[in-house]
Amino acid sequence: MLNISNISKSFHYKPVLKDISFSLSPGETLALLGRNGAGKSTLLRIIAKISSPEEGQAVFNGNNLFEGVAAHRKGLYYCGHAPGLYPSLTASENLHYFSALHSCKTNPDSINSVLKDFDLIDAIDEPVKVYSQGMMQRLKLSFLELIDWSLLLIDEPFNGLDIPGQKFVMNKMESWQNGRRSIIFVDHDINRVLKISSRIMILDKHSIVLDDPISTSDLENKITSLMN
Amino acid sequence: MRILFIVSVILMAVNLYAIFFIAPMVPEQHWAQKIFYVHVPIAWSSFLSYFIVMVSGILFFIKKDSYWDRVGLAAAEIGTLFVALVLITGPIWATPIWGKPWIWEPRLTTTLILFLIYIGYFMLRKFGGHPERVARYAAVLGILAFLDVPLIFYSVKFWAPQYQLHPQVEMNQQPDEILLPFFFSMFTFTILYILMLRFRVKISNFQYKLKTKNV
Amino acid sequence: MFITLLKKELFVELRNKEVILSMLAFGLTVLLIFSFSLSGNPKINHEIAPGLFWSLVVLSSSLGLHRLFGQEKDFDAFASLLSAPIDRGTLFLAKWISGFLFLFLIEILVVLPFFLFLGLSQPMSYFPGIGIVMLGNLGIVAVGVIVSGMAMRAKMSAVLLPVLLFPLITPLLIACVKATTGWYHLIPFSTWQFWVLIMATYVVIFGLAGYVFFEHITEE
Repeated sequence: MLNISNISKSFHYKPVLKDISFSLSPGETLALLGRNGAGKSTLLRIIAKISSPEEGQAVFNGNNLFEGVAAHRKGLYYCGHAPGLYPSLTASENLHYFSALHSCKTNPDSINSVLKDFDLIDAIDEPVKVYSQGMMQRLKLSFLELIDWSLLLIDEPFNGLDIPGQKFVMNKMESWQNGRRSIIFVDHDINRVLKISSRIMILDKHSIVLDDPISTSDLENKITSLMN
Repeated sequence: MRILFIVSVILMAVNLYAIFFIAPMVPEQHWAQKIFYVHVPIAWSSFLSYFIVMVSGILFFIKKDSYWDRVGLAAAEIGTLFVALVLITGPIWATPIWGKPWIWEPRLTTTLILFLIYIGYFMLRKFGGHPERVARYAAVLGILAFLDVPLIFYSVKFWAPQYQLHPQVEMNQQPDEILLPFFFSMFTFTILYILMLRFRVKISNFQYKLKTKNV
Repeated sequence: MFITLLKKELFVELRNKEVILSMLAFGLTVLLIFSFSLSGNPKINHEIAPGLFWSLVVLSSSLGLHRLFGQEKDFDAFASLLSAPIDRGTLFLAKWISGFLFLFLIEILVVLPFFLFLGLSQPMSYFPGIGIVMLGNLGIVAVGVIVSGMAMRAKMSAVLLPVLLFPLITPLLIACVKATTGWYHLIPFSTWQFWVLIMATYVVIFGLAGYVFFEHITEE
């Protein structure tokens, strides 16, 4: 589904990613780990075509992602650190608008039911700028119940969430894994990652130092030693 | 490049000799007219340089090689230096000839506007962010700047013709004693420009190699 | 998709009015400065009115253009826009047309005070003037969106934007003033049609350039 080959990216002449290559199959949930500054967020932003690499190719569902053709990004959804929303619009307005950009028709009923599901129905008329971090995180994820997606790139989905919030997101991520959709997410908590992902990748010193499926023996020790 | 350096030194020596001793004195203008042999070739080289900035920008997008960004920067620097010289020699020439140092003559005005555009270019280079992104911005700006040149020239030309009267140098009416040194000067300055450009790109390449090795 | 984007631009602006208010406030302030720094002689004002008007427009636009990407920048909605399957050229078009509409709205609001404060007489016919203003706006905003897109991620963006914008639009400014003078001072069209041609050429070149290059300007 996703083929990354030889991606390299530098900032101020210092390489952050060097020759990164890997493939992702449908149904995989890939956890991206690594120290701060290892290039995890950068890699996600490159695949989402927000950042452009110095070199490399990305093929998504047979289409060249870096060609600049909008249709090639169909089915790809990016969720970054920042909210990625319009602060002066309400939750439903944001949902309605961004769904339209992904060519998904929505109606007030579908939006309201999603907002109810994500416990945002009380703040339905407030502009997003007054939301707490937890609420914004839930709103970002609620899109995924409205649009048609096959690849989710999500940067630290549990950031700033309380325990119930984290549980909620973990459950949602598990419910999305239906064998056809793939997820790449960045996280720091090894235990959580071992629970919900099917594959672990660690980035360090601009390269991939670990790329193993969850079933690999002694994986936890491997991860711990690499991360310290 | 050493050969180029030697050739251009010789050419420039010959050129200066020609300007001072071979080219005739023009009545009414005397020594001031001699600036013409320097002012026009420098102006031509600066426009050539800005054209190269545009071409480098286009090639940067096509080839995705940072080498073209370095060429573009070098051409922008030299072009702007030359433009500054044009803007200085112009009024020096103008004061005795036209009576006042500045008239909104279309070519000089186009040069001034280009100078201001390139001040913006260097500010963008400095404040635009990391070099990898700035390279893209600078390429676009270089292309836009040169696309603007014909528009600038024609709009300034017809802007206020009644205030822009000045003696035009009609090239086909000049005698050979003036034309020959003039074309020789054009040639010499172009060679000098190419030398400066190659030198600057070479330095830029070294700097790039230094910054990106051992990382 | 263009309509969706454009509707959103207008809707967001209607909600928080950042672009419009900054242009309006600045425009009126500059108009006040013009009114007091000039001699007050209506005849002189009549002569220089087109130049004053376009100076006002260019100065106000630089402030508005700076905030054009404001809503996208604050919460990084820009990332969501860029990763969505929408054509970046279409995004440029939406920003271009919405910026044009905002600038046009400000001009409508400012034109009455403009005539009043400077003691100007009414033009004979409005339509050619409106056409010239619309064409000029398209040109200013086309370059403005390109420059704003670049300045958006840069440091000192408030300074960088006018420094980049003003020299680039000099030929357009000359043409706008010439065309407006021709219309306002009732000079026959054949005399100033050249300037309308310059304006149209400018709009076409920079509109196309923006559409083509927006892809490259928007990425980190």
